[in-house]
Amino acid sequence: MTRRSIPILALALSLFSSGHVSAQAVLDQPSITLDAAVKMVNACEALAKSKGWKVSIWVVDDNALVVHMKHMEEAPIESIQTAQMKAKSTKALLSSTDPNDPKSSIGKMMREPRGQVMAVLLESFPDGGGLPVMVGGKFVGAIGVAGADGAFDAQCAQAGLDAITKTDATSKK
Amino acid sequence: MSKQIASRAALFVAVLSLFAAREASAQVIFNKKTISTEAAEKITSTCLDWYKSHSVRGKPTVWVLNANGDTIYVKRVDGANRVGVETARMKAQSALYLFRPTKAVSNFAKTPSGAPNPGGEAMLVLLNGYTSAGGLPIVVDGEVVGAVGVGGMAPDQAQGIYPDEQCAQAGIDAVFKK
Repeated sequence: MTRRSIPILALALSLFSSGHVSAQAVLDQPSITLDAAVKMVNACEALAKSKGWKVSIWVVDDNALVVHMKHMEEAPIESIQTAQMKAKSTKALLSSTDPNDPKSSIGKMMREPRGQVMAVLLESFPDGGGLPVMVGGKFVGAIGVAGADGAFDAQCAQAGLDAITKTDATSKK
Repeated sequence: MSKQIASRAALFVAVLSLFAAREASAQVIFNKKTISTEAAEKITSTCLDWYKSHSVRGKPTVWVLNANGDTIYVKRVDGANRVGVETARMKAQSALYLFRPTKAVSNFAKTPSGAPNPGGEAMLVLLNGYTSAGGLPIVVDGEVVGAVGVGGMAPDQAQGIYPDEQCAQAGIDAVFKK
């Protein structure tokens, strides 16, 4: 490193540390909070308990990485993995994992071989129970539920989503 | 014909009662112990309370496994590192499979006198032994019933302070300390 480059580096560093970075250089990446994730899991669990369903629930962030997870007592063991897969699937789908949901892209994909191959390559789990959390058109996280019937899993995930969209917990952060 | 059915039914009942008798004498199954989700929840919330009341660098993820190694409870603090999520899981798995704190797992790589032990190092690799502090087995009456892994908080190795492990220990103590 030359002598001249050192002050330049220092200047660049000070720019970063003082936050004088132009708006184009750094973008906001919204991500779901733990508080919101806990609300989602609690709402889904409350519905499951009232109906007698035993489920595993994952909430992942905008990076499809776990934020909060709960395995209800006596929920099937494989539901731990399928619930996680459903949550992660929504990142590529940006819609529900339910093939019977007319608004979901997975339904279209399941109806033709090319789409089925795409679903495999995108690791999209084609069963109800996965829902993305979209805020301002952006994917900020997702919920995945498994262990009951696919339709019940979907209801449970929806209850979780309703818990934060009604109070709008994600926009508070 | 009906006589034949009746005799078959009698045989069937006899066989069934044999099975029932075996189950009653407890030779068919034995009970392992495994941690409940409720306990996992308490461990995690206590650990996160510990984190909030201590000044540490980094943000934790808490990962709880049951006795079979199934994930039953996870919580990640907002803004916690990705690597902390991975290490939390690996620490919990190592602590469970090797039934000792992950801080002690590195002892595999040494002989009791402290000399390097290549055979032990190979074992660590083959058994996926993760050696940094923060993973603790949950032991009840000598039986490993689950494990907690905490990752994401920076240790002070010079001072011998490992916040990840302290956090996990606080959680386990809250539920299981007599």
